[in-house]
Amino acid sequence: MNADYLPVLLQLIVAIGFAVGSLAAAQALGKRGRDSAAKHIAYECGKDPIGPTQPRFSVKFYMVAMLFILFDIEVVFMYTWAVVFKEQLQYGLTIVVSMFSFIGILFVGYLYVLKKGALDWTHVKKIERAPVVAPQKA
Amino acid sequence: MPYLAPEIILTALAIVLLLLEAYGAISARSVGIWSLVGIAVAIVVTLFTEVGAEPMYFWTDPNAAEGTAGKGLYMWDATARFYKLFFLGTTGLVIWMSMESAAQPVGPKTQPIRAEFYILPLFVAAGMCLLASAADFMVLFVSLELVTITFYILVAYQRESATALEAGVKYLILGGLATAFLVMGIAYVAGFAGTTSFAGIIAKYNTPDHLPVAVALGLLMILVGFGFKIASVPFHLWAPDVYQGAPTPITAFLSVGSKAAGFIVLVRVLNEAFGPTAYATWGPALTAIAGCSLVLGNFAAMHQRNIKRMLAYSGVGHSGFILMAVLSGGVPDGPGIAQAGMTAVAVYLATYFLASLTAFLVITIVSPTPEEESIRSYNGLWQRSPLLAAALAASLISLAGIPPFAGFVGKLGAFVVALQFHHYGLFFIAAISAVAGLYYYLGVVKAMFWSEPLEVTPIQVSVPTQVLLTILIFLLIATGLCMEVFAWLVR
Amino acid sequence: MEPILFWIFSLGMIVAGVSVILNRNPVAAALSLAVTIVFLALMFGFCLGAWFLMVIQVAVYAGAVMVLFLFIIMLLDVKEEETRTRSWSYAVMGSALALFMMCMVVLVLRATEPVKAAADAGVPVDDAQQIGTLLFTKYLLPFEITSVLLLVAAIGVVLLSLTHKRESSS
Repeated sequence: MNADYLPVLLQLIVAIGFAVGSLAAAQALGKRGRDSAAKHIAYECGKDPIGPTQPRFSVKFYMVAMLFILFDIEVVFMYTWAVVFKEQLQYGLTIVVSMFSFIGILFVGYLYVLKKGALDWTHVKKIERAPVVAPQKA
Repeated sequence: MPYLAPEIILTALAIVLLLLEAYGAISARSVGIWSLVGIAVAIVVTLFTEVGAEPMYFWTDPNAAEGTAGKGLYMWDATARFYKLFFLGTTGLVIWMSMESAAQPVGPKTQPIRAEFYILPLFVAAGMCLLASAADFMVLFVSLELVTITFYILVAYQRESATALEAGVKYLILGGLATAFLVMGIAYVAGFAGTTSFAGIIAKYNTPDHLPVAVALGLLMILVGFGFKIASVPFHLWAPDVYQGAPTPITAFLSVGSKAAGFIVLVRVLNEAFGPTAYATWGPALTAIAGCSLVLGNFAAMHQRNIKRMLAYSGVGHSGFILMAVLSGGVPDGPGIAQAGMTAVAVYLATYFLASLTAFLVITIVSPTPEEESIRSYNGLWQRSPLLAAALAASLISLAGIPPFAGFVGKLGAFVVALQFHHYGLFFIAAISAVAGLYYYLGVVKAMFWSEPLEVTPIQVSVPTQVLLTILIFLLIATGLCMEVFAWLVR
Repeated sequence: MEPILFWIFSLGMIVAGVSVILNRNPVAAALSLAVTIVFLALMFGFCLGAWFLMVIQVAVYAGAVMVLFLFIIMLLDVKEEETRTRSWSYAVMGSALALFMMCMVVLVLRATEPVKAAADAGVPVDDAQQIGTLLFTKYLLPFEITSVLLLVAAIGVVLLSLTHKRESSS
């Protein structure tokens, strides 16, 4: 039993060791003492930062995250499906039909989201461009 | 399979309409009409599906031992059919109301009625129909979530108005809390019983002993979850604000459909998953809840100036009356809930369905904006539209429980059950509350007929809605006169 | 081995959980919540043998749901939240509720044997396989309902957060 956990333990040691090691190396090798106000701004050598460091996001990000979760959950179900697929196939096609109807219903959701423009971030520009083409033909 | 027909018809129709509308093939209005057609088809199919003497079970567990556990996930019996028809009827009338409110002028901050507003109720109806047949906590939970999550969307539909947003947030957060209690309760019960199937749980715990502590706690937590759905005290806090902020058709849906869905799962769980011995656990709890709901609902409704808030509190009171009918268990070796109680619950809900939906249909027409929802706007409604005034009067008098209207039959049934099962204290409280109910219901009726109107412009009602209102008034009186109709339906 | 791991994971969960409550910065609180969830996932895996559940817990909760949390925090004004003073009444109420829940769990664990029996019954060998088999045989109906549920959620997201073009209602 304990031997099973050995790779996990090794990985844990490597992960912690890497984090501690890099910090220690930076501390040991880095040149200390050259501390100034300029060192503490977000971009040390570039433009001066403007505005708050944590700006408020557009609601569109939220929408994408929410839709991501929905399809993420779908994938979770597909994983369990894949595990038992071969075994269940001998009892008939139920396993195939059930997953395909599941995906089918969610695909409808995808089509709906797509058509409503929820994933379209440049929708406004398209509408503006449309009339430019029309008069040339006439 | 014809037994799952309403759910399949509604879901398939909703999906097709969703795609057709998104790709611009049909207008929002025709989506509404097709939804009504689909519901009519589902009602016909449900009506003509045979009901056997014994409940039929589907998705039975092939590995379960004979007669002990796992009868199935989905059951079909007379109760299921009755509640399915109930939910389909509710959804139909709600979609009708939505089409009625779509015809009204749109304010600067109101969202126009989109196709989704007709499609989402179809999903709700499918979920409710599943609830009526649920024989397993798994199906119960997923269907209840389908109903609740769709309601979150519908309640917050007018998202540019502050009251609607408040309603949406309140419903979401308190609904989430209720779901957490429900799922925790289910986890306790299923964890100890070792199965999620109602039949399996009752097979394990229908013994003369008391329920184990954990199962009793689980059952109480499940009751908290259901108490939220039926808007009973102390889980009613969301009701007034949500009823007020939601679009009126959705308020009607919550008030009738969601409440009935809560009651069907309540009686199913108490009847199918727990036997008479569990009464020692849920009996006192539900008695307290019923008493508080009766008193608080009816007395708080007196002080309301907004008609939707008033109906919200009166709905809390009605939950109390129905719970009085639910409290008919505890007979040794009997069912979880006596047949008399089941019938009384069904009859009460049926009369509540007629009266409440008629009232909300009138409110949809008379109060298109939140400003016009004050009870003062109903002053002199008789002069502006005699039909609307008559319909609202009939429904309110029915809700108050005055003969010969339908509501009287429902109240009578609940009172008879309370006497039969010796809930004299509750009977007394209910009697006082019913009298208090007369005060505010008749106050509105009085305002409609004997007060001077704020404005005298007549209200136009489209011909189909006129016909529908006339039918509803007729049904309110007719069903009150012939109780046998119900006796036949729930037989 | 398991008892040691159990204590390590519980300690981690408690520390991270307390950090969720005490952190003034909502982003830091959310990240602490993610750590709590990761420890819970580890407990599922190492103490109950529910490896699949562990993976799901990390992928869905620590991954997707936490991202959503962070997005919502960023939609709100973080600075305002940081300056808000703490209310003692909430702290008392929360502690009382926590104590109540704890008493309940202890009561249940003490009063009944099945929990211990279930815990001693051994660890599931391949929980992904078991979940899959149950999901696609016995619980096929709820599984299909779930797809409708997810579809409704997608509609809701679009309906409630997309700015529609204003158009006539017909």
